[in-house]
Amino acid sequence: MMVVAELRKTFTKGSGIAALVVALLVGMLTAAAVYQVQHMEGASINGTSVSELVTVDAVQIAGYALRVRNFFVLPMFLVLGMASSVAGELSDRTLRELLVRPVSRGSVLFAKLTASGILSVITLVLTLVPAFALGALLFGLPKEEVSTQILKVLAAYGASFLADLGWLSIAMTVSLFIHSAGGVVVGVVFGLGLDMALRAFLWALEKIGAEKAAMLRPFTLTYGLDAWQGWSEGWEPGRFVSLTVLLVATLTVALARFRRMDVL
Amino acid sequence: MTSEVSALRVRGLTRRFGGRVAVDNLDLEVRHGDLYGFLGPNGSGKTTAIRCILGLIRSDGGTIEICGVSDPIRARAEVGSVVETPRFHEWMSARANLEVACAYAGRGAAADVDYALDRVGLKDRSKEPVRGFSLGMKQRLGIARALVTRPRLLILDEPTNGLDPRGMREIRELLKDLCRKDGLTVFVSSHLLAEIEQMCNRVAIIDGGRLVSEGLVATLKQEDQTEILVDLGISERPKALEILEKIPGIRVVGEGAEGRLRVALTGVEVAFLNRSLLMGGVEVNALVPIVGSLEDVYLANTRQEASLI
Repeated sequence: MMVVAELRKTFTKGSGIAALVVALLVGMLTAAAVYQVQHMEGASINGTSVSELVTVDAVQIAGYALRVRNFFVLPMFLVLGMASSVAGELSDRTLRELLVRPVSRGSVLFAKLTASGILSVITLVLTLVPAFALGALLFGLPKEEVSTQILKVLAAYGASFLADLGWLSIAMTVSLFIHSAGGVVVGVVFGLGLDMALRAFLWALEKIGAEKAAMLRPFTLTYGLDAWQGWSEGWEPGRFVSLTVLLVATLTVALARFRRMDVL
Repeated sequence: MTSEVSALRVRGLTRRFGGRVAVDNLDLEVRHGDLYGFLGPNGSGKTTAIRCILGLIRSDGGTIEICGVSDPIRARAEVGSVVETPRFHEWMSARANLEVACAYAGRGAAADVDYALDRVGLKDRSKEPVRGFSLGMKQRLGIARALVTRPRLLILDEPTNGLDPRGMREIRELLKDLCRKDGLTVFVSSHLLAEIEQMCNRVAIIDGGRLVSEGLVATLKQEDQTEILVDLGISERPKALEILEKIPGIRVVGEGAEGRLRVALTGVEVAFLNRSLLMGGVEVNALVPIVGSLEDVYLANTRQEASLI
């Protein structure tokens, strides 16, 4: 019941609707953009036309669409949605109205996470289905191992859902410390910036011969959140371990914080 | 342990903010069917106590029982509440807001939503987004949300805040009605004395986080009076003054036109005053005891610097 109530709020709110629209557009526009590139008139490399060089199929289009989806845009919509669901409701005091009901605080957080998780699944489907359908229409299915290829890209979308849960749990935890939806988004982006700087630093250390720097990579924030990329680069179990640790840690902190928090 | 005679029983409730004690060892007992006023100056700890009772903030000590249930989550199933200005999902309709509340309570059907909206007179506007509602309508919708799960106890924190006199009266009448006709127990906090005096049968006065007075409104007003004021209408003023001067415990405190006198009685009954005047040959046309107000009780029990409206 609580999850249904949260879904009702999510799908009538601007950030929820925007996430659905963007997810749908990502799938369709990716297929259209690749088609456009492939059919650019007169475009050639070393005398070979682009259409001959760029050979894609529906599975690859679905994979490209996932890359576009996960490049900052959709995760940020999800972060914004979770921030407005927790930090926003704390600041406008609508969360107070839920907490006077006979429910535990843990179950309130669970309902919000579940609703946002469902939003994530729907956005993934909205990206996958049109991307794959348009891809099949414009470029056809893979020439060989069709089912294996499809399963592979489906696994990528599944891993992407887990990564979304990671983003959502980070946003939920930050929301309980910064009671402003905008502040949460800024905080997450700032954290992401720091993480990128750390990764660049570790990469530089590796390049100058400090090979042990590579051992620190699993401790960066985005190491686990990028686990979905394994579909093209090869799955790394370490990334999923890192993502699981991130999920457990953030949810534990969120629960402990929320249980002890005074809600005005 | 259950104590079903009480809709709300609070024992030794304490809450500190840093070094400041906001609620200090507070005891309250609200019986079923009471329309109970929780009175105190601004900053006296009323809202903090209510938030502790509703589980919104932690308490540093004490126990809370609602309808005999001490488990905080189960106890909240018996309560509907409005804390300060009620807040809503403004883009959603009045009905949708109530349905969300029902979902979180794990109960409440369409009929309950209809009942609650009808009870506060908002059934006709139930499909409109809340963002278009006036403050008075939002207060009423807040009460509807409190009612939608059919609670046994209503806890309302300053429900008439910011309302115009007509709106205040509407809320007051609604609360009286809910208590009398629907059989709800109502616990209402306010710093508005007249409001509490007009609608409540019992009252607790809190100041500096401590309970300073508690009981039936009528009893409290009587207890506060060490001397009784009586307005007299008499036929012969000089003769009456002569008689009254001779009776210990009677003091003339004012004289009005046309044989009007105001006297203060200390340890003297009104009947004795009447009898003395009649026996002395003074005709008594009117004899009106002046009952003290809740304001007198309030001012006697709260700090002078406390704000009072």
